Amino acid sequence: MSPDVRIAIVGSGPAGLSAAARAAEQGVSHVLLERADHPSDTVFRFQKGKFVMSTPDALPLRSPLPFAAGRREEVLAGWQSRVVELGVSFRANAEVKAISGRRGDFTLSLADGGSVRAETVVLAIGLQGNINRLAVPGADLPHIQYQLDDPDEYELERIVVIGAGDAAIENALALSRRNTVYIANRGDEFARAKPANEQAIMAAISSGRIVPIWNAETLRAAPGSIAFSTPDGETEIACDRVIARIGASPPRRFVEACGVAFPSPDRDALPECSAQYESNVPGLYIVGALGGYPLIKQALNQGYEVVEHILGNPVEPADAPILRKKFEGLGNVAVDDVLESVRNRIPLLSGLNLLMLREMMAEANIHRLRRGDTVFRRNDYTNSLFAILDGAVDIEVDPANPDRRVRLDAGAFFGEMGLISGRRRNATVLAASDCVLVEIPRRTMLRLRAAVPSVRAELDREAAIRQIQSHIAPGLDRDALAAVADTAEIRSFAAGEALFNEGEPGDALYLIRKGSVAVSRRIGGRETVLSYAPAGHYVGEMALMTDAPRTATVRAAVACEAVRLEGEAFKSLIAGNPAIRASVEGVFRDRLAQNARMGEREGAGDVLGFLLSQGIGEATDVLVIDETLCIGCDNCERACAGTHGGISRLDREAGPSFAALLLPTSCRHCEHPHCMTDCPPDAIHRSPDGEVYIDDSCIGCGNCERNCPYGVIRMAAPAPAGRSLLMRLLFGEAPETEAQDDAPKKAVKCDMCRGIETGPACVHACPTGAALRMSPEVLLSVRERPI
Amino acid sequence: MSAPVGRVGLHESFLVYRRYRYLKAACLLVLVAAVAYAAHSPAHAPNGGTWLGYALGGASGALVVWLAWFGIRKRTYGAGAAPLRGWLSGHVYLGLALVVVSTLHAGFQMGWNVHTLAWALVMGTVASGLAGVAVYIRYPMLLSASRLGMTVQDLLSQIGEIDRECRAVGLPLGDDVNAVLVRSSEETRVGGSFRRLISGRDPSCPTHAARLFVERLQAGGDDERIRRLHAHLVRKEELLDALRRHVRIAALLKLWLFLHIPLSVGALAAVAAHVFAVFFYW
Repeated sequence: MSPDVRIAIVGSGPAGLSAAARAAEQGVSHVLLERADHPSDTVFRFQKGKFVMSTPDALPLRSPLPFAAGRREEVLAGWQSRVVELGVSFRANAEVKAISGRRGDFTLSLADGGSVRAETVVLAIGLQGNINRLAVPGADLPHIQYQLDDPDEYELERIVVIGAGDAAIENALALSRRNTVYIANRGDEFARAKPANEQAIMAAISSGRIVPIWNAETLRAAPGSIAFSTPDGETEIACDRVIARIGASPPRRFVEACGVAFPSPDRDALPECSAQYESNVPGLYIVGALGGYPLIKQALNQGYEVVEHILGNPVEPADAPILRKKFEGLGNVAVDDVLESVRNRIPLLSGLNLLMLREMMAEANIHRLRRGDTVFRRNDYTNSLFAILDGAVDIEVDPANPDRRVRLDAGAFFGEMGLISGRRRNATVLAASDCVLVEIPRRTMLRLRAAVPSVRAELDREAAIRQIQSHIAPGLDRDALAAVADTAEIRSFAAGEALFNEGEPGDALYLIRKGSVAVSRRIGGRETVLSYAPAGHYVGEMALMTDAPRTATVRAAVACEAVRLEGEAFKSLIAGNPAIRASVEGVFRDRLAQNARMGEREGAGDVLGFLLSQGIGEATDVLVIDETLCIGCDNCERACAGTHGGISRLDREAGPSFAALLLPTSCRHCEHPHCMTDCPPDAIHRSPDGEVYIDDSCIGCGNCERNCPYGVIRMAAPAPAGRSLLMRLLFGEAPETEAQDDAPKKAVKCDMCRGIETGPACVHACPTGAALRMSPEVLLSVRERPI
Repeated sequence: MSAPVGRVGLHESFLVYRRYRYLKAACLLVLVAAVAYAAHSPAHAPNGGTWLGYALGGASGALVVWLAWFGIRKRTYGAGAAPLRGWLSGHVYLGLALVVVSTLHAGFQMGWNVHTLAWALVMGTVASGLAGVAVYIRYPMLLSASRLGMTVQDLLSQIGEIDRECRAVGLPLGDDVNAVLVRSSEETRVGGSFRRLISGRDPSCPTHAARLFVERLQAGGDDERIRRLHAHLVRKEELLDALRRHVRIAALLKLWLFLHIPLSVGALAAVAAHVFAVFFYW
């Protein structure tokens, strides 16, 4: 029996739709299978009128489907008319349950019992998975819905949200602004949710804004109500609407069942594919978000390319022109040759497959430097990683003595400290000869570190040695450190977790490499914070020096990573090196003195504890208002709005305060910005001066707003022009007006007034001197003083 | 180790800006003016028409314009080399110096004319400004303490929440109770009249009346609903108190401006009239 079609495409998102359109254009027999009753379900479900961005702008579009930035409706209409025009063979309501077979003879079994036979399969199902539905009588009633497109659509309704995850919490919170909201949780806590969401929902529950139903098993739904069984018996709630957010089965299980392998058990891992998007199952291709390309334009391009690959047509990857341009400065060399030499010469990158390497190089920059040129300076806030392709660099390790330099040759990498700690560069690097460097952006490097074990191992090992060299034993070479370095172990700690506890035997030294820790002691039955140590400092030396039990507890103030060094190895290191012993003793004495000072000062530890509990331990620059000076005039907010298109990025009143110190809701420019973690267009950056800012390529997806634990980002449309100075003098400030609903919203946050010479406008415009921005080191050391 | 000037050590009040730079400048200005005035012996009594009179008048006029410019500087954001607290520091100290300089300019000659009117308005403006400084020193701490660690929005929404709860709890109770509760939730006002705003009290607060009413009921017998109602109303009064205190302090922090700004506009106009009169009708 011969196959029905040459290509079966599963999923009609941008990638699948584009593939089908290209197949139709090429006159190849195909079928496009879609589980929903319309194509492009994900884009279809975007909020009505949502503005769709077309990043990355540099990437040329290569698809039979049109695509430019515009409203959701325009984008969908453009695709629809082209799909009709090309005669794409589209089957709606065709959910694929299983795929079996191999190249030339695949069978796709459908949920309705039918099947499709195809020579090749293109899997373009995205990452959303199948939404779980309630398995109770009445689950299909019209008042039960499984997602929420626009919370502002509902008003004055009684709504029951079912679920305990982030989606349920976010829906419940958004709905509670205008409705009476219940949240039904099968358990009695929200431990699965992100900490910020957990806090927000618990706050909403304790203030009574949302009514919880704990340990609730859904029993049945009837028109206008839903019933749960709870430990107190059965309860039926009359409601206008039920929103069940009880998760989705991730597509991974389905994909694995098709025979596709994943490189790691990591939740975020994506299947491994060849440069032609072919998975380990010959004839089964994977494109779109599931293949690691989450942006619409990338997916459209891949849909086109994958069909060309299947047809055996030579097709240059869409990134080839970008790479060629990047490599221009290297002379007349082929793209593939450069890629090959990068992989051969730089051991750190030798474990990358070709696709990863291409992607990395498309995001990386190539620098050709002359002898003596500066790569970066000490205290710069850049956080990319450099690898030496050709030539050599010198590192000025000692600011006091610029002549003391360490040479790194071709193949080596540097800049990993800034990458790991998220802090300022701790050395200046100069070109020691004419050289060629590959600069890999932070985000690309973090992705590689997560995906490729060899990159992680190499990076961590080298970083640990260099950190010991620069923070504990300056001047010692790697041979002398070998015994200690071999015991080095990278440990991660969640915020609040103890590295070690008071009274425990001291068996190791911890060198903080990311985040910061709080040192505390039990005084009068209460844990009192004595000091804080940021990345680049070590803790635990006291017990090792005195051979006594730990005299203090050290906890991660924020999520942190430490290099753990075996105590015995460390002791023998200092025993043989009087200079190092002296410097460790110096740190030890300072700490003793500070602990004594803090112990004596009533309340000082409480202030330190408060600041650390507010996440100051991961900040780089904090707005702090002295409440003894603040007159509540809000000139700070007006100055912020006045210098940022009419939208204030600061909420003075909304922030915790303690001992007359107010931390307003305003960006702290974290060492490892949470907002950066999941930004599809990579629009969030850190400038060399340290400000974290969002550039114009923001697509308004809201990920950063959700990821920020401090609530300092909001989605806003450009504000209408404000009043002129004369009008403000005569009639006062205009109230902040809401922009029209349909204007595209983008993320806005504090950029510390980068580009404005006088510095942060909020501080500059404070009439009484109450508002100050400062680094946590300054803030935390000052708070040791008497209040 | 002890904290430097100022309580926190890093924050620097406008009064101490750059180690009292403007206080020093103002003292110097006053000193120079006073010495010149003492050394100067004009043919007639000291007045604005001598060379020193013109010099002091010029200085006073320039100061008045510069002091008034503060209103514009305050609303220009992200510009100017000196921070606004520097400007306010200068505004306060040099404004005080103006009292001496302009009085010396007048040579202590007062009368019922436009010249003295200008002087008087300047003095009034400075006096109202001093009241502002006093308010700025005294009230900020009370302002934040008044909010009980919540934002105004939080306070309002908690009050709204309690109102809803009260209505729900009170529903099965008698009409009289419900009437009182409706009044408490619909007619309770924060501020409203000047007196209520500034006193931070409302003697005829419907919530207060409701609490007293419920307390009388409570005396009549133990009822779970009445007890809950009472607890809610006590909490609501507490929140209302906080809100009224907050609104009161926020109002006090702005109240003086309602004198200071009109007086300064008047002073500016009168000074202009004074200068015009001097040069065209003398």
